[in-house]
Amino acid sequence: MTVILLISLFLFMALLGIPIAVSLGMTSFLLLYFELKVPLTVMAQRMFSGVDSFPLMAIPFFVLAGAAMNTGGITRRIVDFSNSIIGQFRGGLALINILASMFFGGVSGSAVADTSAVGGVLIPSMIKEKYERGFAAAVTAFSSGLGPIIPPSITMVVYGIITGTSVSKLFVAGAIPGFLFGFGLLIFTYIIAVRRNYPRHDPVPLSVVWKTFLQVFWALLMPVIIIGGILSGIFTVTEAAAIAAIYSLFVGIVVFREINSLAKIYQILADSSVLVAAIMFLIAAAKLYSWLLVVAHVPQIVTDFIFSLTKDPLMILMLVNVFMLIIGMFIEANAALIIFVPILFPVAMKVGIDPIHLGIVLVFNLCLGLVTPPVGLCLSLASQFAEVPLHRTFKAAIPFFIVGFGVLLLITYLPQIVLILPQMLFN
Amino acid sequence: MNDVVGSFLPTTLTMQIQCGAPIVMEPLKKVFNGINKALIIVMASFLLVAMVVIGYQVFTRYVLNFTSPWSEELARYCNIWITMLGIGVVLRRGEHIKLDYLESVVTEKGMLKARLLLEVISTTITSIFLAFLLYGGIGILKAANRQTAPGLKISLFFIYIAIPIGCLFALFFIIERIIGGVANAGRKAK
Repeated sequence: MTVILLISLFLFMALLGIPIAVSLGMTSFLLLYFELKVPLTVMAQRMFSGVDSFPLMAIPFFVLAGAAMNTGGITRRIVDFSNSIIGQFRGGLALINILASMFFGGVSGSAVADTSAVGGVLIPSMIKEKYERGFAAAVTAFSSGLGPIIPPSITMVVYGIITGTSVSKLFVAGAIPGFLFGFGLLIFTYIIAVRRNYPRHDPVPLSVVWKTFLQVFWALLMPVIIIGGILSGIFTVTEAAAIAAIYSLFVGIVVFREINSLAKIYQILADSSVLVAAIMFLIAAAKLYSWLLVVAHVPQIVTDFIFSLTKDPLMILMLVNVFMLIIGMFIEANAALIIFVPILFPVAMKVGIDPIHLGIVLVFNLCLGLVTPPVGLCLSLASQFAEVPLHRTFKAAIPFFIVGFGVLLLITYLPQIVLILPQMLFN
Repeated sequence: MNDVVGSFLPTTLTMQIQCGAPIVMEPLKKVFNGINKALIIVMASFLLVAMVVIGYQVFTRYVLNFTSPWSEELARYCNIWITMLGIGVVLRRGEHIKLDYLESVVTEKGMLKARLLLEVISTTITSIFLAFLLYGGIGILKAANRQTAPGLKISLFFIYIAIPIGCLFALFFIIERIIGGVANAGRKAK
């Protein structure tokens, strides 16, 4: 009874359009208070401790770093540099869009930040060069979906915190799937661009390539500092995120001098803190809901149910994939991890699935959710930038979905793709 | 993004409220805008403090060779304050993540009444939730007052109080939204 209620109540409220965090929190409050007689103070305490975590603090700092990079001109220089490399091919702007996201995702760690950063610059110019609007939005949304897969990644931090898996190993493991996805997108985009005869840019002389490289050098140094710092054990992930934020502010203020007033610094901090509050409140509510699931014995019920169907790890991974793809359509990635990983993780561990492998599959899977309607945050944001209805973007995005699902299948059934780098670096 | 009544009203409706709100609303609107701005300033400052403090922590560990006992704690508490004070600010901007499928269908079909009903349901449930959280948050304070943060050596009361304060501000903004809605309904009735 409790189990049916806790699912249906949440779904009912969420579908009515009540904020997901409130739907999760309200469902937990009602059931815990009236069914399970847990006092309200305990629930408030649970939500509090849900955000009272130092590893979780990587999120605000990565968000801040992303905002500072946009205002500080780092993003624009990444775009310029990408142009000097691949702008001369057919569909240049679309290719630039993807390549820039691969660089940017490697730094900011947040897909939504990436959509507005790269999309805000590139979608208007793509439309000016007569790209189909839906296509422009689809390319942007998918390339920013790369953000959480290419390390550093907020979503991986969240998975690492829940399961106690090493975040550095997750970061390393995400590299190959991320690049596979990125190159897949580049190839498909190029084919479409050739077919539709999209424009190319004039080749850039080598001297200019060098110049744009010098400009972007400061930005490229950032992933080196973050990943290098974490892998060598110089700092924790949260510290690395804070250093990234300080570094990108420094580059924006001192090197590029584009953050040139106190008002701009304030704007960066203000925008980031509001975004952080939205993410953190959702995480707090998700933590409470996930506790409710444990109290209601949902993990055991799910484990028994899955084992009654199969004990084959590959079959279980497939079930998990299908389930999470559906979930990812409705719930934001970090919240989805917090709610469902405590349920799925024990099952996966019992049949011997590697925690790193499971993590990367889940993160990749949920990133596809970021571009799948109805909630697909990146897809709807990009459609807004391109001023095109969501369904047209969705139609234009079908080839990219094929790439996405292809890579998801690959990393699900060939764990070596995911595990080879961490094994090489950490053993 | 409409900052005045919250972005999840349809644009036409929101515009009506903005243009047509009675003049008595003006000073009240100023008060709410002021509170909103003050909250964001505080949140932004907490984020800055957290960043600086963690930078300091890395610096002292590698350069001065000692581990600061309070920096991690301070950063965590800043994060909690940002989260709790932000509930209302995010609510006001309509930026809490939600499924807006039903809402957009209803809006497209021009069903303003259904739209309003969704808005009323959402606001009601959100306020009940906030009231629960407020009550629970106040309940913790007594116990929190007896505990001290090990690094900062301050009473945990000052951290836990963020929950009720955050809920109060959020409820405050909900009242603003209700006043706006009622004013709009009154104007339409004329």
